[in-house]
Amino acid sequence: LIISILLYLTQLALGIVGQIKSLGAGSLTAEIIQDVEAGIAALTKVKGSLVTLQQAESLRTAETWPDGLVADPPIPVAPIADTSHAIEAAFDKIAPPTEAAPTPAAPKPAVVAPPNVTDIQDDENSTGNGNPAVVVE
Amino acid sequence: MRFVPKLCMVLLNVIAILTLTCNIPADTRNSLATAQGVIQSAQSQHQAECSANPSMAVCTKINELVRLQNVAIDGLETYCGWPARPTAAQLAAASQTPCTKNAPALTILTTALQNLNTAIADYKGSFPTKPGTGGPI
Repeated sequence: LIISILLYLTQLALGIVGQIKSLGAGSLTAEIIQDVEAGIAALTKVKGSLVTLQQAESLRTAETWPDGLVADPPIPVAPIADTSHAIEAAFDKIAPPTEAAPTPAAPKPAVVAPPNVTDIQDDENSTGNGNPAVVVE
Repeated sequence: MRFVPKLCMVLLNVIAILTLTCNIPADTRNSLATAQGVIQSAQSQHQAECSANPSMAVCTKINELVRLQNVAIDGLETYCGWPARPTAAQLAAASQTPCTKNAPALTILTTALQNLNTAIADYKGSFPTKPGTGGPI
C-alpha cells in the first residue's frame, strides 16, 4: 500500500511539474534554444540566481530600423507662381479708407421707473381681508 | 508512524512545487535573455535589407518580436513588483531590488511569454536562418 501511494504521489508530482513548466517560462527556453550561440551569449550577461530590475531592463531590445508601416505617399503640390508684385500693385490701387463720420448716438429709450411702494395703509384702503393695501403712485 | 512516509512525500511535493514556482523569475529572465539573443541575431542578419526596405515581411516580423520581447519584460517587472518601464530615477532607486512575487500578475507574464514564444517559433519557421549567416556572435 505504501509503495502504491508513493507511486501515485510521484506521478502526481511529475504531472504538476509538467503543468508548471508548460505555463510558459520553461517551454520558451526549450523552444528558442535552437539559436544556441546567440542565446548563450545573451545568457552570460544575466547569469546568477538573483533577478533584478537592472537585469530586466538590460534585456530590452530596440528596433534598429523604422517600423515597416507603409506611409501615405506625399501629395503632389503644383509650383506656386510668384504673385507678390501683383498683390502689392493691387493693394496700391485700393484707396485708403476714409474716416467715417461719427454716427449720432441713438436716443436712449425712456426708462420707465418701476412703481414705488410709498406707503402701506391699513385703514380704509384695506383690502378687507386683513391684508394691508399697497398704494402705488 | 505509518503515515510518516506519506507525510514526507507530501512535504517533498510541496517543496518541489514551491521551488519550481520560486524559479519563475529566473526562468523568465533566462528565456528573455535567450529571446534577446535570437532577436539581435536576426536584426544583425537582416540589417542591410531592412534598412533599405523596412516594409518587407521579415523586417516587420522582427520588429514585432522586439515589441513582444519588451511587453514580456513589462510582464516580468509587473510580476516582480517593480515599476514597468521605469524612469531613470526609478531604475536607480530599485535597480538591485530583488523580485517580490506578485501572484496575480503571473497570468500576464505567462501570456506575454507565450505570445513571444509563438512569435519566435513563427519567425523561425517562416524565415529560417541560413547556414553561415548568423549574427555577429
